[in-house]
Amino acid sequence: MAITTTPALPVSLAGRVPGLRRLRGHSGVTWVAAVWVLLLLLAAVAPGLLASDDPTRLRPSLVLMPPGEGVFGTDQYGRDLYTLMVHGTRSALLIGVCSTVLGLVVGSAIGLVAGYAGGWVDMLVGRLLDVLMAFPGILTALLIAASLGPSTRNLVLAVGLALVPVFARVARGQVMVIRSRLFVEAARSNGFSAFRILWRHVLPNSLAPVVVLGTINVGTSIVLAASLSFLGLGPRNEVPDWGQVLSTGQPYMATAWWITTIAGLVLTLTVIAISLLGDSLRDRLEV
Amino acid sequence: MSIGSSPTTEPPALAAASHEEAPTRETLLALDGMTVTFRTPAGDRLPLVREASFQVRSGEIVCLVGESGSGKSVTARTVMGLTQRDPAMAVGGRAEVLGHDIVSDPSVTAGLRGRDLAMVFQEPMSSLDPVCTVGTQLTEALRRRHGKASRQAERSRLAELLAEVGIVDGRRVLDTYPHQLSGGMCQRVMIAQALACAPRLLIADEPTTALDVTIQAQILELVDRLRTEEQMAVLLVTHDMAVAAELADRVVVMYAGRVVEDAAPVALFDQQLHPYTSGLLRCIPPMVDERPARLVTIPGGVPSPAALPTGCSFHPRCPHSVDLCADRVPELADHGGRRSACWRAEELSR
Repeated sequence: MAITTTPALPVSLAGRVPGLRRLRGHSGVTWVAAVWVLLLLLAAVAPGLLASDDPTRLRPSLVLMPPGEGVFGTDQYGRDLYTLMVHGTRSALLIGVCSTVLGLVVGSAIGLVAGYAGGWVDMLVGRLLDVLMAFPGILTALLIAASLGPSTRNLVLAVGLALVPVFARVARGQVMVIRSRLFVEAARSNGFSAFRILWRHVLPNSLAPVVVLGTINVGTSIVLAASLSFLGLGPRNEVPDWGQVLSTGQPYMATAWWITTIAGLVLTLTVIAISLLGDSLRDRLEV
Repeated sequence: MSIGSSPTTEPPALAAASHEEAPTRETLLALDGMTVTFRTPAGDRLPLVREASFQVRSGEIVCLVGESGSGKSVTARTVMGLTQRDPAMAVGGRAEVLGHDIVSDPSVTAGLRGRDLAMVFQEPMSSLDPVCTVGTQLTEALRRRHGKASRQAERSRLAELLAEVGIVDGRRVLDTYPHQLSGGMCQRVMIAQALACAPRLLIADEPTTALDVTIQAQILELVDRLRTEEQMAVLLVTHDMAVAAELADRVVVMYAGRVVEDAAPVALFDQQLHPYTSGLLRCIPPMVDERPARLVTIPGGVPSPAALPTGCSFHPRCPHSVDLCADRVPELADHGGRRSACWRAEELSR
């Protein structure tokens, strides 16, 4: 019979960094993280509420002004950095969430079939996933994004597909545990079809770890998307985007440190906040 | 000493066990030399069930008794077509379920399960899906047999079914999740689920072990009624000799994967034709003395299928064994309407 142990969930960022580990399980910190994520959601849904200015307005007279001019200062085109960051939230969250959902759905489906079928199907899928996992996620994403061309949709596709093997692995392990449980055999003794057993009984019971992994992964996808965008594979120039702010500020790091610092800081805080929320969800679901 | 002496206390309901024989009974389960083997990763073939032969006819309750590890549950699961799913398991001999040969084509059971064939498992808490409500799971079973009906009709039918297994507030229970119910409640839900499909052949693997005696009596009464009214056939796997005495039309005793004795309960409790059956019956603690005497046990344990004794598998634990018993395997031989697999059956019953 097949091995029926659950693979350990990949540890989130907050679990890996020693200083951050202390923050986990601290409810005050979780609340701060929640407030930050809520702010981001607000910025994504209604950026005009937080920054009424037009993010693309160029002000040649106010180029590379330090924080104090506006809130965060301006970039080399005189765009207001605060407005730019607020308006860039939508693209960051959209890509992060959509690509995670894509990876989760496709990965779980693959894992579900492989784990339930077992035998040679599982073997074949397992080896293919091994090949994909041998490349770092960023490389797979880079490859896909570069061959599809720069656009938001392609960025989602690239990051999502790079995440597929991770979700497939976790889902497969979970399905193998669930399918050997007695209630699945009881369902079989009721004469239900394999598809029905998979859909109604195995899938819902296997989802908890996959969902937790998904929440933790939203942060990772945002970083991955920002990295690709930094490399010029992001959305078109008119769309405000965090990765783009990072890359445009990079040549001015010595003279205008605030551009990259602010963008990097917002990105880091977002990833940590999402990661902490994911951890808290994991504790709640006891997976 | 005769092995035929019955235990000091007679099981209470011997009289209830005799049922009128209807001549038109259809054989719904027929095992003839059925063998189930398990292939270990090392390549050895371990016999879990060896040449099991017995029949269950409509309107008949057959009890399968024996110690843990004697192959009762494997037999039950094989009849359901569930062991065959495991590639390490191989089924041989002849086995017919509702007229279909399940040895050459185990997939026929898939069409029978949940319709003419149903099973109750022995672990109630883990037999129900934790993320579905009781109602959802029972509805699934009901629809498998009867097709889709209106939600109201389905719910009232399910509440009726739950009432039959002793759950009074059935409508409330339909909306609960399994973890909100006790083990006994889960077991009754499982039984209701099996009965929802009105099977012609019910396989019950220790269905009442988790229940207290009053509920147990209620469930057994229900099974007895369905047998009489609906001509349902039941293969009841049990440890409980009292249950067997009360309900069974025939008792099949298994030991180390082999059927060692097969008889009507009255005859069996009166006189055993196999030393193992006598041993089992002697293990029931007497209820008459004020201070119970020391519990009688059969020394030793069921041998592992990897290390079966030669000859009769029971001979190392048998007080009556002779040289022949260690040499040759006794056949399941006919003894005037009942069967026993013991070399000394005739001699010891005298």
